[in-house]
Amino acid sequence: MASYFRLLFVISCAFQAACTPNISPWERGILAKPQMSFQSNALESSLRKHMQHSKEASTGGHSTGGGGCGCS
Amino acid sequence: MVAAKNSTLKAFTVAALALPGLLPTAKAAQKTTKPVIDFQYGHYQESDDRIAVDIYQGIIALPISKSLAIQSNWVVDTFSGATPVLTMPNSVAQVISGASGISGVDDSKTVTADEQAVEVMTGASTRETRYGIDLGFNYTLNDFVFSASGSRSEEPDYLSHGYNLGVEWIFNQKFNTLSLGFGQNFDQISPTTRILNEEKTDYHLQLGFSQVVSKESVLKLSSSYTYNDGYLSNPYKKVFIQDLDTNTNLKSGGFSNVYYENRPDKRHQWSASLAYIQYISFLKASVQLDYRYFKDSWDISSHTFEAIYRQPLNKGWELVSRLRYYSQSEAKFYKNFYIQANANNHYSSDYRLAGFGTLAGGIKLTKEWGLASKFTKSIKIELGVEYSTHAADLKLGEQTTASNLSDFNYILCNSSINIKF
Repeated sequence: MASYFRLLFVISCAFQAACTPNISPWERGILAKPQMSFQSNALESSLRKHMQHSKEASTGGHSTGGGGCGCS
Repeated sequence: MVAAKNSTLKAFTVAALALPGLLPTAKAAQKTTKPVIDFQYGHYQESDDRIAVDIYQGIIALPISKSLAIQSNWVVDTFSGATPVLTMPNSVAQVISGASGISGVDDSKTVTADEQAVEVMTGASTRETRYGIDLGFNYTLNDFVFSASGSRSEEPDYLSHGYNLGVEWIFNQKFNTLSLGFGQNFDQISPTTRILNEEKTDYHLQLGFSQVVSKESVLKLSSSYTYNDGYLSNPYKKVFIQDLDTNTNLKSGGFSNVYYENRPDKRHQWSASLAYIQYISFLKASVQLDYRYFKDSWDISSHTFEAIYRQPLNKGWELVSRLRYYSQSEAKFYKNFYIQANANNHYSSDYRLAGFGTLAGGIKLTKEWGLASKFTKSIKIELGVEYSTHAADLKLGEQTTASNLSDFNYILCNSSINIKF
């Protein structure tokens, strides 16, 4: 059990090191810009996904899918 | 001094919330300390007088307290126009002159597999309206955002109820987010042209992870699993099957050798997506690259590539251009028509299950006015147009069922307004 926790600790440290870029809080300005957001307009994005979903056989992506028939 | 401190803290909180990936999904993307209203009109039009759809949508987001916000989305869409109902061998189709329907099937001829196929359309009068609404909330507790929503969608032949539950964890000095979502949909299908009452249940599971890579780039990984159980056929679509046993459980489609399609009643779907945004300093612009791989238990697999370029201009204007390519392989039971019965009794000639590719390009212009009036913090309007071409020849790799029958083009336009109070 102890070795399991040690392993978990090592993995989390490795993750922390790998996933922590060297960025100070005052250097986050660019990341907060609207053009750095994955979704700029929720309505437009849902419209495009809805139309794609009704013409193509694939689902999934960066947001959860909804219901509906898409029969036509 | 205290007031100044508070406003600094508020500004920082807003900036932190605006960081990519820090907000849960679309549902909470509107999260704000003040109310937000969105409205959009969309128009979709296919070539050759096929389907046209008018879509009206809205979002209202209301903060109840510092950590709790409620949100409601609604949609009304109306479609009209002709849609393919059947694909069959050209040699046996008795076509009504001047119309896209058929008057009968010549069953004296024997059809061969390599014959040319023809698409039979419904009348152009098809018209239907769908009403959809969902209501949800999100609750922020330290580094976690919990969300829940319920939805209802109704059209003359389809009723769907659903819910979604989600949690997002913001950690590692806000450089990372991890999100988990689960939802279900309960659907009832009762087509207007035949006596049928069927049900289906969908289960969705979604996992997401985002990572700030540098001060100018971010990365997002998502994966999803969907399980559909129940009536998965399209109740209007028919298939041509030659020499089917007369004891078949398939329902007759009104003509000799024509039946309503029959798909498996279970489907597992998996997808994995990768999205990356890079800031381009000297242009003050950004490029986003997306890729999605999809696979399902009907042997359909697909690849989607998308590139989005965002260029802010002067005085609150922004220009967004995008390019998208999609390619899918056909379902294992898909055929244009069947010259003999399938062992598994599954049949569909729906073009959505065929192998094809889609290439799309779009452009969008937005304009934002800050402090537009005494009551509003900002008003933003957006105009967009996207043109797509859907063709069998655009598919990656070899085509198994050669068919460019269902090649068509479509255009999607949208105009929207976003008001922050």
